[in-house]
Amino acid sequence: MKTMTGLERMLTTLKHQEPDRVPHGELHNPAVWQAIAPEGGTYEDFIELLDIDCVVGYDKLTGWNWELQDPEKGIVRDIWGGLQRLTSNQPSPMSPALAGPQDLEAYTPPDPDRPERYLWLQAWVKRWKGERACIAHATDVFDIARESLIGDVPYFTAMIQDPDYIQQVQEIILDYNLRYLKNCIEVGADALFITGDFATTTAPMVSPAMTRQFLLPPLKAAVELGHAHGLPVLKHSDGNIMPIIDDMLATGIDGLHPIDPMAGLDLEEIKKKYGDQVTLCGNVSCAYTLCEAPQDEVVREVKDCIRKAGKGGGYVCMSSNSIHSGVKPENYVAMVKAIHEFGVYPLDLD
Amino acid sequence: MNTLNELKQAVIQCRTDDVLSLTKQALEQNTEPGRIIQEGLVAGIQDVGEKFAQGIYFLPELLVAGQGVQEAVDMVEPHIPPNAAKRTGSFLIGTVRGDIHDIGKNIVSMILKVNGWEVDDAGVDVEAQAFCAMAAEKHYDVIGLSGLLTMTMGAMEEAVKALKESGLDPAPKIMIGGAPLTQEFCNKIGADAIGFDAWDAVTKAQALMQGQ
Repeated sequence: MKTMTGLERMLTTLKHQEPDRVPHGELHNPAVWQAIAPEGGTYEDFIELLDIDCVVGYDKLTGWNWELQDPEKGIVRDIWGGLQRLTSNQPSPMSPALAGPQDLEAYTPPDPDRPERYLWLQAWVKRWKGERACIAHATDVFDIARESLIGDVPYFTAMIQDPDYIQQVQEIILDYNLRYLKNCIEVGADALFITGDFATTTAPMVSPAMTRQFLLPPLKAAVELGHAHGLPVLKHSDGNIMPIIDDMLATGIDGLHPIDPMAGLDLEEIKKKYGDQVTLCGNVSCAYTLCEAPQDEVVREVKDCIRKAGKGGGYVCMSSNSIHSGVKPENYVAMVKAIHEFGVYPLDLD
Repeated sequence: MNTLNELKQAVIQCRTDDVLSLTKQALEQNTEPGRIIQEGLVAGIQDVGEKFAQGIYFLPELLVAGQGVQEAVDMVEPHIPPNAAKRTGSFLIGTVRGDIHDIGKNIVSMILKVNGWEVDDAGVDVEAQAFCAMAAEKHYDVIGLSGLLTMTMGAMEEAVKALKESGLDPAPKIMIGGAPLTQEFCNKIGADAIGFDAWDAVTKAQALMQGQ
């Protein structure tokens, strides 16, 4: 088989065909990639060093702008007006932009057409177009509504007590997200990736009925946008999504990430049941294996994941969430090398 | 159906306005405050918690019911003689260093309160020594450590170790909770129990109080 580019590898597996090798991509914390990159090297140098097939631009870090509020504590105002605190490059919500529905009338949403939101993608497209899959990422509407605009507890209670408020806020966010993603497509994105958890480790956050009412329509709109432009759309959700997985797949998503092992999701079982409908992305443990295990265990787990889900394509070998700051750089390198060594089709893992 | 039964059903069905009006009605009927709390509000929220554990109810129902009960308890409390107030135990809860996610902590806190616990919130991104200092200042029956990020598991281990070594007497029980945590991790770091969801946390806290 001729050697494929990272982009070809990704698109082939998303069509449920076997590429030359199982593809790989991640969201990487700077602490990890900087430890691996050549001294003084950029993120792009790191991607090329490890020959990573797809690159994902996390919207909060690439497409959002942050207004510094308290440099000492790392407190910033996000584009929606919510206060967040950046720890380990991870924004965590402190207080939402809206105190209630009364604030909606005067609320001004961010502008998705600001050109600086796309500088990163322009650079990637220039450097890698056709070589690696350049993936545009958007944080889910449900996530932004809870973390930036309404707040967790007020959001959940309003689902029962004031559903119109939720719908109004979500329409504002969806309008931004769709315009942002459309702009990314015009710049040259090869795929779309929507993140934001729908579930905790034990269960979906809201009932299947509320999931269908509030969470899935914005996801479906993103899928329709991607498909209208010929782009695949991947969805991330941690947690036990099994009670809502059929509804999630009904939106038409092409890829599902990360098949959360901490929530008891079994890659092999899900491959058997849903492998012909959706490409599975995951699930090498970044709670344990990539953080603490010896490297031979990393290799074993990579092989195990490929054995469970790789046959016939429809599989991207990734971590069980992201390459966060607790991941050992040497373990991540071992993971990528193992994918390159043992992910070659036709698979021979015995 | 009598008022307390109606009250219980209103809690279960997340009808907050009815919860408050039925609580008011029960007080006007001179129903003993302890019975309003136990037979109406607590009975209702326990049913909601069971439905949550069974996957019938989810976070919105748990929170709306919890908020309704909390408001109703606030209405009833002034009618309870101070020395007759029932207290399940005292609980200090916080999110460990490096993590400022607070939804899990807030939900557990709310459900604990509506089940009669006295809860103090240490906040988010709490250093191990800050937990120890608060526990030295006031005795807590249980200290709950929350964390959502896998990368904060080390901070949780550090907090458990610091609390165990701080020589508190009587020693508080220590609970942990958060998406990346497992029973194995709980055992490994020497915590007394792990709450896998809000209701599980409350149930296990009550079991710890009963010496189980």
